[in-house]
Amino acid sequence: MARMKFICDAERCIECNGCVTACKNEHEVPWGVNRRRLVTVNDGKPGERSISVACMHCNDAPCMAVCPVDCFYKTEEGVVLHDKDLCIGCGYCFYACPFGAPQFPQAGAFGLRGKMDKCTFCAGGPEENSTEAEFKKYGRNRLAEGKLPACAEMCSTKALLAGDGNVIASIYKQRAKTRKKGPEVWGWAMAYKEDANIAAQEVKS
Amino acid sequence: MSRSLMVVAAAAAVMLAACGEIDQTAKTEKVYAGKKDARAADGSQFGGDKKKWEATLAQRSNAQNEYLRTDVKK
Amino acid sequence: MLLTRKPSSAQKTTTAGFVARTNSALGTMDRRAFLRRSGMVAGAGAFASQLPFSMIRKAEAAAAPGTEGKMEIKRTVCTHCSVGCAIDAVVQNGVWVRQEPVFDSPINLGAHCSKGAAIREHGHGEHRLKYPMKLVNGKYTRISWETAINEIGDKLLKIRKESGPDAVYWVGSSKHNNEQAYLMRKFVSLFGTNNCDHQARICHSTTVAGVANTWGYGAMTNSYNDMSNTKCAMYIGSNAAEAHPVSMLHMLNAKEHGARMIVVDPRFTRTAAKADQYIRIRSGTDIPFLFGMLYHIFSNGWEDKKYINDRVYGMEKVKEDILKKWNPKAVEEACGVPEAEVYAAAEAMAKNRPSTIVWCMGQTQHTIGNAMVRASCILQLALGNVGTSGGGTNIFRGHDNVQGATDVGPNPDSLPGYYGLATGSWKHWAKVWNVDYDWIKAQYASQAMMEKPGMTVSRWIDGVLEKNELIDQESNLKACIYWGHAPNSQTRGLEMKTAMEKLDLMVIIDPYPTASAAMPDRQEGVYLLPAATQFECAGSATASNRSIQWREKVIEPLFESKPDHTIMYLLAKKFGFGDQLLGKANGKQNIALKGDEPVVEDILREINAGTWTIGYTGQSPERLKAHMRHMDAFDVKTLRCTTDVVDKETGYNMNGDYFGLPWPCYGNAALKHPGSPNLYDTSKHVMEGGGNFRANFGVEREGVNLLAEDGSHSKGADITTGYPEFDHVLMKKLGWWSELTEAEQKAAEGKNWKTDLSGGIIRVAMKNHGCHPFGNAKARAIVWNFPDGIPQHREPIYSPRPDLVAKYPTHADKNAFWRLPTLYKTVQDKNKDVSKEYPLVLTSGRLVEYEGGGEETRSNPWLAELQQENFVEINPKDAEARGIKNATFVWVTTPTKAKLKVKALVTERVASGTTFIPFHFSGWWQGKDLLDKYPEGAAPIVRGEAVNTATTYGYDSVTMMQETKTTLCQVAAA
Repeated sequence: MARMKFICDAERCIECNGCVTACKNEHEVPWGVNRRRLVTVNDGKPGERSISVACMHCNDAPCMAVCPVDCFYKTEEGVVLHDKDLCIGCGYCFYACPFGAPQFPQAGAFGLRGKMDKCTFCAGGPEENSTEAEFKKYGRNRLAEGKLPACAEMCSTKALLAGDGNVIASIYKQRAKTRKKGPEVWGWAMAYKEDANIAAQEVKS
Repeated sequence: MSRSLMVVAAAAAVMLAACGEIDQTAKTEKVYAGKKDARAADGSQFGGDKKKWEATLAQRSNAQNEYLRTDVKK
Repeated sequence: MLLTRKPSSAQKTTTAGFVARTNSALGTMDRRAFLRRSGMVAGAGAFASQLPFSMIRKAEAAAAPGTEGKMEIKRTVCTHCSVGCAIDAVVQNGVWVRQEPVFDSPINLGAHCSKGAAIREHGHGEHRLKYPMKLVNGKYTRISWETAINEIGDKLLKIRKESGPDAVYWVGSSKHNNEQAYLMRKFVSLFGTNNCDHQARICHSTTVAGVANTWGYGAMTNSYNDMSNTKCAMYIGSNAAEAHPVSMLHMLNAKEHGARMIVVDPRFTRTAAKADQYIRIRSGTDIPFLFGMLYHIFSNGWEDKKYINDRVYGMEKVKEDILKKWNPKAVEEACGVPEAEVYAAAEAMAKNRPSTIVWCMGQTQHTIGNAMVRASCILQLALGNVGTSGGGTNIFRGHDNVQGATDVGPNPDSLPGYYGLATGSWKHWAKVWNVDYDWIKAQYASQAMMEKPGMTVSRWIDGVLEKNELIDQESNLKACIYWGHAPNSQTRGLEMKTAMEKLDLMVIIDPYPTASAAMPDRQEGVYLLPAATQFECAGSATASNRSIQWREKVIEPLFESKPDHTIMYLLAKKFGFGDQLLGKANGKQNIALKGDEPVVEDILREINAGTWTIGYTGQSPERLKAHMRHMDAFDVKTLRCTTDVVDKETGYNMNGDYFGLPWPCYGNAALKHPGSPNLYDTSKHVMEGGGNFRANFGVEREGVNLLAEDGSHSKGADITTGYPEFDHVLMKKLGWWSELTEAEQKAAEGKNWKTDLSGGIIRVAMKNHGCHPFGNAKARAIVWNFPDGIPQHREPIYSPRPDLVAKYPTHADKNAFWRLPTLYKTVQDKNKDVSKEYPLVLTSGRLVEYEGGGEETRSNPWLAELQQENFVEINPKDAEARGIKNATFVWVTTPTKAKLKVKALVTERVASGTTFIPFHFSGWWQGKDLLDKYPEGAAPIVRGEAVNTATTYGYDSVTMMQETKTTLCQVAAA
């Protein structure tokens, strides 16, 4: 299996926030911490487009590179996770991340959940799969249940796709071909570098 | 101000001071120092059967493609 | 709209914790433990209980081994709009622990908007009303159910005795399921009044009346799914991307396959952001725009002449009127759209057929709403788009069961199934209910009052405030029961508060206290009864496309709440008509009781037994449940099951059925009518869901044939021309009477297809002869029984254009209209120049995160976090002229002198001269937070100013729909 990726199709995203509440609901993320959020350009004007943004689980994840305590690791599927027991909440990863994914609680109370918090691709973290300990620190482990991230599975217009990069690229490609529009995959060049243009070329061909 | 926030503030100062010096696409070999994690397929659901897990996920991926249901040739 | 989205909150989370896994290896918590903890939270101080914690408290410790919970999956349907998105609820030990997408659903394919994806919060409901309460010395105090039913019952019986049954107003709900809505109409009838209504009045009443009077049924003709078959869609007055987000899945699929998309709206909505063409019209000028399109269609000969000849009455006269009045110059003057844009839209709709039109509140909520919707119908009739897949009028309804509650629920002018209130209608239902007609009659003030439509929810306040000699009933209203309805969705908030304070008794029955609990300044005479949500009971709901879906009960009612139908029974028992409500008489009982809860399946069977008019007869509980278990059997584009799929539990084979048996599903369940996916579709046999326009308006008018012309009929019909509706006489004339069984003949003698309780007439006409029981007629482009038979543009009562008021004045005032005097011209004349002081158009609408009055969704932290403050959208030019900066507080004032304190959202989304405020907020009153007026711990997380506190007078001339979409305001920095 190839690595896990996200695609957000800006031609389809209607800024409904379904992905945001799906994430909140599934992981019981507290008020103020947003593992996923929407970014809108040209709000209220022609050309208005929205993108749902979370951790993209980059190939060469900048967060990993800058972490002073080396609490990040990458799973076989390319999912970038971290160990909250090790995290010191320094915020380096936040500055390094081009997507603004790492979240930090404002108040100390969030220590209950560990330090930095971010999208796990619904893959939990370094605790035994599907345990209370894992849920408490990282949220649910849908991947271990054979399910994909809740945000993408519940997306109102199926704009947000998650899963095996090849599979979702082909879904996206079929759509873009049908509508003859939108082969550019937002965020891919930044996150996945080496195969960023492949998807685009496949669409054009 | 809570301690953790002060740490963040301090980190920000360091970052600014070192602006431009950190290669954000660095390929330095970093070694993960945290706890070991189990593979996704190793949970109670799949018991390590990676093939089965992959097949389940593949099927699940296709649920994101409504073309499979709207563009069926009848 | 980033203004109100705070990346993080300053509020601290003091505790957090997470329990109840789906994995059985995890610690579990039973429902009792969960409730106990919730109770503890509720008992904490008012401030602490307002904090948006993570929803589930931490389990104290992992449960002892061996107590691991049973995991169950319950299939339910989202309650936040009419799309009908299926949800699988994961329930452990009675606690709703997770929700999973239902990819199998042909309607939503697993998709959800923010509301649907956050629906599980309903299973926890920290901000719910938790037990019955009573206002004592201005404070809400807990009481028992027994005390509540007794006290409320005694007070209502006293009012009934002293002032008559019409002195009580019952506001029902479009969020009730079909069975509850139906039982509510029956309940109110047994109480002896027609003074009942629900959200449909202020939602799509103008659509239902306008569309039914045009061609037969008041409903969406096609479906969300069918929009994937369209070549061009025009949204006018619909912001589907926020109000019906999952419907966009089908539209965007169609768009990818080449369909064009046009959005016509005063605001550049998120729906407009997805369109190929966006057209900005001035609020309230849909008719000039639509007729401007028709001007080009007729001028270019793009109309479908054969279709019009065969199936439409009155189009010639409409065409004359349009060509005379709506040339491009007049159109641009009225609605502000240049000729080229109107032409482009007309050409797109005409040259990309089948094309469809979508409308919502943008079109319905006007003083001329009934005419606007008919203008939309006329456009579709001219293009021959009605009765075809990919075409139709796709009228998106609002609440999850507003269609069903309209069909069988508490309407002031009709018994279930649009039977009306005539003597014959009462006799029909009395028989179905197994209640003596004369007994019901004796419950009413008189037979005249029994057959006179009641007041509407939009006007109940005038039933309290209006001079007694001017109202068309004995007494003014003395009590009002808000049973699942927000007050802040109705206009004229200032006067509503006064009315609420004048009442002897207010009862609020709802899962949440709603703004009704906090609005009035009262010391006593208010009761709050906690109702269960639709996840705490079972029942059916009708989606906008008329598909009926069955919800399983997910969890037991939370706290002390009870299902609405249980509360109805308890009150009925108190009033002394418990047996009548259950249809218990002469050794027969229609509806069984389980404890105090009437059995929902039995209620549906009673609906099936009586609702022949609109085909709610074939949807037996067994068929509906089978569909829900086999959603994957139904095609996404046609909604049809085309192979043998047999439900194990019932042995039912759903081959040929359309998903959810969209009404009309004629005849009894044994007839196995498959439901009707697209109404009036002559390309299909009537037993395959085909049809034609309804013969409901006579056979001839002024010498012109009203029935369909020769050769125009549903596929395979034995009668190949127009024909009237079937009754025993026609059956006999045609020689088909002998095809009824002896028992059917006995039941059908003297009856028509709507009142024949055997279903024999329907069976023979449809199955044996392929004919439509309601006849085969023409649609009416001219609805001569309405104030403007041919739709006419009339300026809103509060118009920004005095020059156009002179040209397009409103109606004359009316006396005794739905029991109340109703003003048009008087108010418009008085306010002719009001735009000097209030120069900005004020319109309102939805946000994706909230629904309706918003109490439910603003109490859900996952949603509340996303929209924390109410706001007014104002164009940069208007903001600059007033020295208003983005994200600062402003005062919005209207001609009612009400003032609203909201944040300014400076945006080009609205044109200069127009402002917009979402209508989901409540809990502030003219700048003041009402937090301390809610029962402790039950106030919504997010509170804000309700736009309707400041909206003005104005009602539709047919249905009493309120004008919310066009009024005037002034905005100033606060």
